[in-house]
Amino acid sequence: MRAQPPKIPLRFLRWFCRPELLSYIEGDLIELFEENVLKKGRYRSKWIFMIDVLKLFRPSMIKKIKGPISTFSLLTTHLKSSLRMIRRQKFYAAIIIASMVVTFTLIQLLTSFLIKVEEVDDFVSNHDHKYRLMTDDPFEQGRMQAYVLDKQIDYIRENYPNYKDMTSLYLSGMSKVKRQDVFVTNPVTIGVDPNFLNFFDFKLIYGNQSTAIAHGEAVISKSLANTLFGDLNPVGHLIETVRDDSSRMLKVSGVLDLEKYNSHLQFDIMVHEKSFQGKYGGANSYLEFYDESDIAEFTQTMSQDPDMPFLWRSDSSRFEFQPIKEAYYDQENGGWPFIKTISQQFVVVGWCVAAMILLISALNFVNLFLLLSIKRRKELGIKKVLGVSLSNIHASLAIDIGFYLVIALIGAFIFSLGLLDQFNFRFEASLIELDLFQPKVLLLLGALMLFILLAALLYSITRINDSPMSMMMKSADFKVRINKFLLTPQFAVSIVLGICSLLIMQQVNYIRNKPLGFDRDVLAFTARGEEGKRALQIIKQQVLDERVVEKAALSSGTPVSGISKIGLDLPDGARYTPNVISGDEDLLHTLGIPIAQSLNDTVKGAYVNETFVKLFDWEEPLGQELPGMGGKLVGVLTDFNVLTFYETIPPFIINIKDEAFEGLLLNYSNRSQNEVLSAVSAKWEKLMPGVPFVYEDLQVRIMELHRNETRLLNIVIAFASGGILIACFGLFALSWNIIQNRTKEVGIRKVVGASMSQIMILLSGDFLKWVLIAFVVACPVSLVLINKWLEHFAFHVTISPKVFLIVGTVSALLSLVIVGIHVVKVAAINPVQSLKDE
Amino acid sequence: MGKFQLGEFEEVVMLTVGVLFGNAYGVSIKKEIEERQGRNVSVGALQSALKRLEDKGYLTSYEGESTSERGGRPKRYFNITAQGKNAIEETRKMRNQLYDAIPKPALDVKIG
Repeated sequence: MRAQPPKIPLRFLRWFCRPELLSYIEGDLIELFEENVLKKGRYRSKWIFMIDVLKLFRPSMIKKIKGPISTFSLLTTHLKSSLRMIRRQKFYAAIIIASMVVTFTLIQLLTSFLIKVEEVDDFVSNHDHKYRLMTDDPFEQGRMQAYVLDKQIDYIRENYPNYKDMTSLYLSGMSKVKRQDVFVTNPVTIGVDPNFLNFFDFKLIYGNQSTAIAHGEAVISKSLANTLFGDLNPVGHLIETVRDDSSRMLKVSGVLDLEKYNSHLQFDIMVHEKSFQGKYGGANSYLEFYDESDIAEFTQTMSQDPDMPFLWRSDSSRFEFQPIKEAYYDQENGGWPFIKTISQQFVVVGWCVAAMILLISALNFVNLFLLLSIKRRKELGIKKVLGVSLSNIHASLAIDIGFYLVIALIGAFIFSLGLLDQFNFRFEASLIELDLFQPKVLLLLGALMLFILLAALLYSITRINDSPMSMMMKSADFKVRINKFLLTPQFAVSIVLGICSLLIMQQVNYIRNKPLGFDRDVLAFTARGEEGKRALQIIKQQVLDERVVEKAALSSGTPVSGISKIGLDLPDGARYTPNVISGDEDLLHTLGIPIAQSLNDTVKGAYVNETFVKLFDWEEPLGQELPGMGGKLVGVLTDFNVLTFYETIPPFIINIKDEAFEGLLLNYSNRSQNEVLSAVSAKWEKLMPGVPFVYEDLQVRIMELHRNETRLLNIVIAFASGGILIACFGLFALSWNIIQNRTKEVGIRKVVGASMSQIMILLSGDFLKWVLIAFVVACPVSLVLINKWLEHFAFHVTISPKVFLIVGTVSALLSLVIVGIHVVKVAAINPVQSLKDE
Repeated sequence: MGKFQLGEFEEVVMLTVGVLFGNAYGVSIKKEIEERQGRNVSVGALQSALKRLEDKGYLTSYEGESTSERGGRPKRYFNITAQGKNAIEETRKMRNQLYDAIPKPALDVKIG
């Protein structure tokens, strides 16, 4: 059989080659091929044939592209006309681009943040098999805490070999770290096992990875290194750490750039676990398992192990393993200073807001683009008559849309880079420039652009796909009615965002100002050790004598900090866990907690709150013995808030004793906080030189406990204003278009005798109607959303109709103003001018 | 020159077409050049040179018989046009002039 030339190259040749040359060239190639088969064998000649074909693929051999009008040149022309359009329709183009820049910037910032949140701890290798060890909280039924006793850790290490790796970290209370004159107070210090760095895949930027965590040495964070050492490589240098009233020198053995890692852990100093003793007698423990490990079985045997040490052994004592990816969302365990958490709710709200902004802007873009293409319908009509194919017209529209989107995207990149610091500050985020351009964000933006492009394209196609005749006619109100309909959802979403942000603001204000049952204007100072206690006593006496403040007390804590929870057994075997603080006889007076009833002239003893009394159903509480604890109850306090607004008021005991305490409370109502602080600090310096001046403002502490709400408020307000801005852009452009088209009508009305105000009412009323519909739709939606959010609080504001009224009026006024600007302009034109215009 | 522009490879192709007088088509030209010059000529380069020369009017072509070796495809024979003849003569003259203008010692040195 004769050898056949290879098919694929031949087909390729036929596809590209000029038809007038094809048969000769093919003939030549085949002739050569047949000769080569005889000389060089079949395989090689096929090769040669293929290479010859490839070498033929050159401009002079490629056939001309067919078609009556070249697609490519048509598209270039269209790009030119897009540019010309932007120049001519500066007003619309500017509004379209501005609104899209706002959208893309908001979306880029928000999604980079949310995606980063979702990727927390992804950098840890084998993170699917790494868990945080949780135990049952003996103080609170059903709550799991990320805290394991030292003896439990030791017991697990000795008796349970079935895990791959284990590491623990302890909080090490450190009040100050110093190098020469530079110091940082309250650095977050953790004591860790030597395998800690490898367990979490942290790589040091300076220092030896495997030996850095050693006795008497410290690994510090890059930011701390910058503060203490500047540009110097700190490895090998000494830092002085002050803890309580003792100080110690540590050698810096490594520097870790924590910002590079998207971790749920944060700390300034890391030392070997033996360097300082764990402050709490326990640690956060993490374990890594093998692929085949049965975790459920592991926890079960551990929980049921009779020799396993527990603080209190009870039926509910058990262990659990929490995947480390979940640690970031576990707010109940976010109290440790080295753990970062975020509320899941915050993430959900974030995505919802992003979706809303997206909806608004997509509608807005479609709307505005349609306006623009209506302006060009004559051009499109002419193109149709000239025989430009439909697909070409669509392609040209797509180029138009793409043009705006690309310009807006570039603008958004610039803006979001510029706003990054502001964003980080307002939302307590730690985004870096690179996060804004991570593949997922870019992909999302790409998808968003494609979506908007398709939406705008499809919508304009259906709207302008008329016969060329009607497209070229000048009919003023060419389907503009539809546009107004599109405006409604935009306004509805903006109104929802507006109402929500107003209500969140009310709730935050409520948290800030609500009477808590105690005074917020209190400063709490802490000093440790016997010496500290003595010094605080002296300071208290001095400030009272010098009338720096009116009220001062010594105590172990306040209703928002330093509370101890104690587990007490009742005679019937049940347990209850009241909150306890103790203090001297001035405590109640200083905190401003009113006494509901008390035994006459008794000051010292146990006071309980009303919830406590209700718990035991006492009719005559005074003089009762405190169950499980002993001691007589000498007074009942009116209920006051404890810790956060999420929690209902728990049973609370305040013990008034004649003792020294590590805390000093100063009530600075009606005084300047700064003056009080400077007075105290002067005395402090004299009595306890070298001891760090540690204090806390109760109000600040309360707001810190509700950081999530402030953060949420910031995010919703920022994005609500973004949304409203976009919607206003839309309204502005649309009303301009519509009112321009009615210039003549206004002229006639004026000639017939309509007054300016009548015209105003006529034209604005039309828009107002749509805003009103939007408002009606928005009200129930926002009511549902905000109710869902407020459910998280035990104490919250009541939703008043006033909020809805305010938002409704504001949006009505806003739209009136925007429309009004145009109306006034048109109505002011002399009818002679406007009627002349054609 | 100016009027007649011929590249080096184009000149070789023109001359070969002349050499093969009456029997110049793709494969024979390719083989002739390869044989005489000892260099490889790709079909692509040859065909585009032929097309260029034809566009310039130096060559004409006509369709020949089709034979079974070529899978039934016709051959395309090339002939030099009068203009083409002028072009090669011009190029040759130019080259000779240049050659004659070289002073003798320069060549001697080169040979020596």
